[in-house]
Amino acid sequence: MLQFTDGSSPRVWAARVAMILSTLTSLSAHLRKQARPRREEKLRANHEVHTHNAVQDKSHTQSDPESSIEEEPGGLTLVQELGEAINTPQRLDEQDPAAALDTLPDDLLLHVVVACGGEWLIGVPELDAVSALGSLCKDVLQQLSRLLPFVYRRVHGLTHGRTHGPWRVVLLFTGEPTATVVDEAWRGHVRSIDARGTTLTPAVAKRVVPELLGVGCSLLDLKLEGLQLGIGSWRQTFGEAAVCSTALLELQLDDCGLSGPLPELNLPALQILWMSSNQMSGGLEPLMRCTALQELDGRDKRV
Amino acid sequence: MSHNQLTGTLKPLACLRALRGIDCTNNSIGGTLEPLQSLAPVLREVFLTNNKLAGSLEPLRGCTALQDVVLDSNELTGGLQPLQGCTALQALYLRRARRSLTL
Repeated sequence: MLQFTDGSSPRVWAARVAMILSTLTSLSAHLRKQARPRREEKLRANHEVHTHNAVQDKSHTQSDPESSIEEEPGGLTLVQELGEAINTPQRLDEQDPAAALDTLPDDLLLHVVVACGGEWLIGVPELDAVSALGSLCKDVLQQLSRLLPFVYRRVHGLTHGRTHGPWRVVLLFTGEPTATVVDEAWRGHVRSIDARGTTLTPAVAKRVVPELLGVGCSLLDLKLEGLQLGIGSWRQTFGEAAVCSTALLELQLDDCGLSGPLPELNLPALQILWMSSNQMSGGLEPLMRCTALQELDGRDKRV
Repeated sequence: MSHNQLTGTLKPLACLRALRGIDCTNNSIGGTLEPLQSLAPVLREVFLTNNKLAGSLEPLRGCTALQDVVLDSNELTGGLQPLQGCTALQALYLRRARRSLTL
């Protein structure tokens, strides 16, 4: 268990580390960019020195400041980059300040990953926000590859790979909810479907409840706003399967042409439910098992 | 749940203790506001325009987090005193709401 002597929470501490990481990464990139032309120059100089050394007194070359790369002021990055090229004993991970991150414990590294950003779901950052972490150094990359943290990626098609370096990618899909999308959601690869304003075929509609909103489903949010499913009851449109996902956080079914009584919604994790502008009838009793519900029609309606 | 044809009362919502916002505008929900009492600590937005709600605002007395209360076109009665403690209140709409309103 980690202890923080200044009383900060792990999240605050992780945010600080992420900020330092970001700074180090930028600084490192900047220094390397600056060092590159000099590197080539020094490589040439080094080659000349060694050639010169072959015919000159060895002690003379050691006292020459221009001949020793290690003595170059501010040449730390240069030495790191040249490590193997000039056959020095210094390794990249011994000198690069960012490389010290390989000593972070797993749980703290995961805090750093999460603190890097993302706005979809707490605890799951966006791939673009964290991908640079995998480039910091070999050891961090290896640690991430072992941990395979979850990240998300917004997609409009399902041609994207589910692995991306050391990351386990879950997809937030936007577009028409085809049978393939439902398949991938059922397998847990797609965790969010935003199909607002698209179309839903009757065949796929029958799969919505059992494969997206049913027992064992892992979909976190489903947005079907504006899908004109034709005026019909919930049962006619979506079938009779029980709506009982324990994972679903948000459900949008505004303006879908649904009529008849509300279905029994056994969605204990549901936080936001949108069902406005339909022709639903009956009482609100079917909502009683949505015990985590925070917003009934969650649209920001501030007056 | 706005713009549907829902009936019954608000009673089923009383057990949803995390509920911060309710929008059941333009339905036919009757009964009183009493079920909202149990949501007092967290309830911030109530949009119940054009329903058949009756009774007073008394159940909202302890809802100190309330920011927006929109109850136009209902059958509510009584006074506004219950809202005195709602210090976060920013918007209150009661047009055509009270047949026996006392200010």
